[in-house]
Amino acid sequence: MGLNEQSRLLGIFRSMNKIPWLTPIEDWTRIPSVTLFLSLACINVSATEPDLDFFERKVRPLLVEHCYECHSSEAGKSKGGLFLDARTGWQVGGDSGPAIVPHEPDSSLLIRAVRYGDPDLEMPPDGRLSTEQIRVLEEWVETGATDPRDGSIQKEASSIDLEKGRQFWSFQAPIASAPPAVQDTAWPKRDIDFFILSRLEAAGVQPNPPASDRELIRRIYFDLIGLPPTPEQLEQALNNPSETRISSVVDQLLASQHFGETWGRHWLDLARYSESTGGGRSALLPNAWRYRNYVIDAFNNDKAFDQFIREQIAGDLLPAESDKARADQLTATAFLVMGPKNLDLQDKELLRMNTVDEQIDTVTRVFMGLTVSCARCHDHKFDPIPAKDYYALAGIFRSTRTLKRSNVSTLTIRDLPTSAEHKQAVETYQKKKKHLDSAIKQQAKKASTKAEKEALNELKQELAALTDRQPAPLPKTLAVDDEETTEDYNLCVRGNVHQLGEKVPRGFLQVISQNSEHQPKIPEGQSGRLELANWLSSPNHPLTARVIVNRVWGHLFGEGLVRSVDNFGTQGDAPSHQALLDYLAVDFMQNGWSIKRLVRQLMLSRTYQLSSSLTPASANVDAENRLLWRMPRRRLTAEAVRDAMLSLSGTLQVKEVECLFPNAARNETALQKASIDIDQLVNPPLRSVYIPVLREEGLNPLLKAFDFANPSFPVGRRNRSILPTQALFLMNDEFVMQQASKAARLLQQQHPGLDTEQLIEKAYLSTLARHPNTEERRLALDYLKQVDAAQRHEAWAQVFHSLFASIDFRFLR
Amino acid sequence: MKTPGTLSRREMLRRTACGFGSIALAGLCRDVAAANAHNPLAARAGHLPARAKRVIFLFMQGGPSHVDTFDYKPKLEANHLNKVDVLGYRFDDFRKMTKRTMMKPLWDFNRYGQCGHAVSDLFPETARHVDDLCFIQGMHTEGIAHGPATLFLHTGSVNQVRPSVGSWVSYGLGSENENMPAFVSLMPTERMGGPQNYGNAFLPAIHQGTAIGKAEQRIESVRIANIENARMSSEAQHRQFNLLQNLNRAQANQTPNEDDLEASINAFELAYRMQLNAPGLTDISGESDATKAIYGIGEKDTDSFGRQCLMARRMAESGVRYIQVNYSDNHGGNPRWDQHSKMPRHAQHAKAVDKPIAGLLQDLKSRGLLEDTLVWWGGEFGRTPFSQNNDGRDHNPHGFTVWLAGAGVKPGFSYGATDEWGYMAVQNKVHMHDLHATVLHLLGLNHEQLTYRFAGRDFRLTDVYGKVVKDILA
Repeated sequence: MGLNEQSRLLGIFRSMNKIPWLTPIEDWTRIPSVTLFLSLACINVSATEPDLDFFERKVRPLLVEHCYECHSSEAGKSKGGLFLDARTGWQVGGDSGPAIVPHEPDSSLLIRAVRYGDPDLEMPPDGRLSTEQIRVLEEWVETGATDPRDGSIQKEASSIDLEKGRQFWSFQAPIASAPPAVQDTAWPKRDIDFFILSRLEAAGVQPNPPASDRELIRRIYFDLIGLPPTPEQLEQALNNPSETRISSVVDQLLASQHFGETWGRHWLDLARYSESTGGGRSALLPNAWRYRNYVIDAFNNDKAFDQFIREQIAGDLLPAESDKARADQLTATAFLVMGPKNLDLQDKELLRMNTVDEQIDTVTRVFMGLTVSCARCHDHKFDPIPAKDYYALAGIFRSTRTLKRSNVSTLTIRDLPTSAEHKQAVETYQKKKKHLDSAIKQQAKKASTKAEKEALNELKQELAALTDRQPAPLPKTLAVDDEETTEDYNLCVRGNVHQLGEKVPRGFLQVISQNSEHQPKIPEGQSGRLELANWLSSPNHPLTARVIVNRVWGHLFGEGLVRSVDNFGTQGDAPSHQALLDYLAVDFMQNGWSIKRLVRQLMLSRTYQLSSSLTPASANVDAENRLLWRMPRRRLTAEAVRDAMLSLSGTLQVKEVECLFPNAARNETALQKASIDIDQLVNPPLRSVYIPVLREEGLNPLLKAFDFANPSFPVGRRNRSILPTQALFLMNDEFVMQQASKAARLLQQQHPGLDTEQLIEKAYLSTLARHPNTEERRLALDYLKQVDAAQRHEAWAQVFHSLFASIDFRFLR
Repeated sequence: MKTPGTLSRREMLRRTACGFGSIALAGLCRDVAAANAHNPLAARAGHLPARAKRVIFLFMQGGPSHVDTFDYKPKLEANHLNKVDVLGYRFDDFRKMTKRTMMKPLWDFNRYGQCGHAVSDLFPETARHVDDLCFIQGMHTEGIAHGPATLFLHTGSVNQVRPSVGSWVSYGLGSENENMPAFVSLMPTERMGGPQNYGNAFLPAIHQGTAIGKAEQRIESVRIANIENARMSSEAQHRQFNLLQNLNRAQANQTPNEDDLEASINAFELAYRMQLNAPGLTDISGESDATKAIYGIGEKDTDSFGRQCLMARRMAESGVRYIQVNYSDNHGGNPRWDQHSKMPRHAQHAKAVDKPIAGLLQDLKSRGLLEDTLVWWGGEFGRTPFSQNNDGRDHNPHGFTVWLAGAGVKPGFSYGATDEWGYMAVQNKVHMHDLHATVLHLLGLNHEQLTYRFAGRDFRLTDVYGKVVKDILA
């Protein structure tokens, strides 16, 4: 080979990533074959003897010793997709492209890595090579990187087959089939019951008899409003005619403010609702309560669920009919901001992309039951979700402003609409205050005579009076906004935010998009959130309705029809009754996406109203109750345990509240918390839904002990633990004993004329909504008899304490 | 390792028998345990032969300066107050070259022991044990601010919520004594991630660390939560407990065969027995005066941390698997070792911990416990060789020192190095992920096999990173 030819080849070499047939290599993810054998021997360069000698003496041993462990076929490892045991390895390169550009050490990734100048590109990872060793590699590259190693390399490539992926049940549109035929046609009350009974009949399992009215009423109270019925409410319900007895209780409670407090809380579990950011320097979020109350109101007003989705994803981009609607829609987007953050993370690019990641994880799990976040570093291992789809979504959230960059970053806070008078009042107040402040400052400088001191005092009093009358601060909310620059983002190589790969157009998941829907037309200057919101809430989306219907089912029946309520992917559980799930999903969409209607529909079914007793014959066939032959014994949520005790002690204050933080902690994101008494803050005599949820500063101890949802990730199904620490809490915690003592006093006050036995009846009715049986009555009587009059109250307090701790109090029948 | 999936009710029942926080002393519920071979805290073998049975982690919150303690840099002395170009890493100079003023160590260094390791005058007592210590001097980690770095140290993640090291160990190995919690954190900070630093995140609740007391609490009042009843005498409580359990049985009889109800009744039984026994873990009154003296108990500066260290030894003896002893506070901005200015304050912190640490090492050794206990000393990062605010030092996650001692590590050994200034780890670098992998390895756990399936993924303490540092293994 002559010199000319050699230099021509070298030219090709330098520009080899521009050679048309080589370019697709960067795009292996799209090639459906599993492995690719590569050999680029055709562009071998004939080498000179001295160069070869240099390679063998100096370069090869160095590569073997320091690189092969992670980058060779022999070790079976090619970290970052890079092989360094064949020429082809560095020519093709890893995820970041070719590792060496011959003759150009400064452009060669390998050289940059060994120089240790870039913290994201330091090789070998356990320590810098010596200066001489680095020099060897530089010289090798400078002289053309002569490399006689002809071996071929074997690359992993994407094996995602979207067409095949689309066949999976949850990616297919739900189709409502007619309720199946059953033998016992008298049994079903609602359509739901046909689906359940036909399976039971096929399996030869006898469903339980109905629950007693008292059991059922207590069950319905806790399920709908998270509180026990009072003896009067119980009495009233039992006096209704039997045919409307249950439906009238259901309708009455669906209309209660407490419905939203209970069902809103289910949603807050998913929204990882919190009033502090958590992370290192946890900031309090004094505006978060607006989102909480928005959610409670949405459930109380039965906001259509598709609208509820749109508002939380893109409320700021939706048209609003009124100031109130505008305020609600802005507040709804706090959903996207609510995740845990480490605001003082100094690598702001990482913070930004971790925030995006958290948003993708939450949105896809909550609304679709998919774990898209798995595709951040590589294609999803189980579901047909390529990394590209992840970065298509990432572009949307990256074009959305959630954070403001700063040493300690801050979250986006937006003004809410308010009246002109309010704005005027605040403005006037601020002007006056500014004026007074400076007057006081001036006067203080020259306050030496008595008259001057008096003048200063007067000014100070004026200021105090002004501050007392100050108007409410202008309303603000946590929210998102579109970024000034909205654009597509790049694939991050192995998830590393400092190593960008190809650009990925913004869009949605390919596997569940019809035709070209997955790449919407996003108007210039917009993030694409509105398009995302519309795509998610579309009746064509195969997952959205199924996922929410299944969540509602799970809350009422203990388990979802798909038990993995947050995972409808291939790793999730198969539905126990897919036809029923699909029937309910379609029915839900056709009837205005109404949660209340759905809840009512489920509660008035025969299936919901079954007794919870464990019938051995049925349990022998279906121990896990997958066929729904009984209502399982479900436990009360932590909130219900607490609220029921407060309600029975007569101390529960029933009201909707705003921010409970003391004034000092109410600036936009409060970092100063030293003055706050956390123990007191998290134990107000209010419904537990209003207790500040603090990631770092402390949760209410009762909620924490009884499986309250971890506020740092979406929780569709809470843990259900039975632990000695819970028993210790019930036995010894001051809060429990206080409520028991107050409940005992209240009972005596309310029923002054009753004897001990009658009081025991009343105590059972109020705590367990039933009468005691003979043994229970005897146990309580004996306990109360053994003490003299002076210890009477204490003994009664201990009876209530025992009832609160007892299993019937916490486990619904 | 097999990953437990969703719990069936039956598993739940097993799970509760000697469940989380079973802080009862030895033999307490052996009968229940024997009946429940699948107790989730029952001791189980790891993937490899274990060198260490347990860990005591002495957490130095705030970031002690390595160049003023265990990483001697003569070049700093020679270049005191000279300006040198270094790679910036803070928000305003992220990855830019910046001129910084070098500051010499504020304390003299002397060589100690057979190994001759140089230790500054901040740690004269610990220095007497250098021949038992294994220094890792090329440490580096993630997170430049306290919050991210503290979370990274404890969970391997700067801002995603992940289980802490102790929770992983509990999940992997259970408790050496099934009547003990597997993971205890003594007086942890409420800041910088707070409970996340001993949290189970998505692992089953039973693996959550049991916090005993909190930072800055008076050591005498440190207790396990709700272990005592403030209102009732023990006789009164015994009577009431009988009423409760009789009521429970009466209720359970009305709806028989329910696993959950039986499990709840058992949980009460266990809790009641724990209440009678567990306070002994934090009660050091039975220890001899001589023992207390070596920990510095009774001396003003060392009393609090000395008591913590002695409690740690009692827990190690009782079979707690992972014991974290925190030298920490609840300051929101500058935790204990965080001297951005006034470096001389390091002396006060060193004084508080040096003698107790030396006492702990001596006590463990004389009882033979050091053979199967791994002691780990360190902060969330080190400090810069250049000054900040004239007499302080900034955070340094790029190079710092931790030391290990005891089971399975080379004694009197030091591994790796920072550059000539003590700024960047450059030789035999050990990332925090590597240290995590190594600690698990010493306990007999393979960090790549210790996984838990959550939200569709198999999670690991070390994410997709981490390499066991074989060169420090004895």
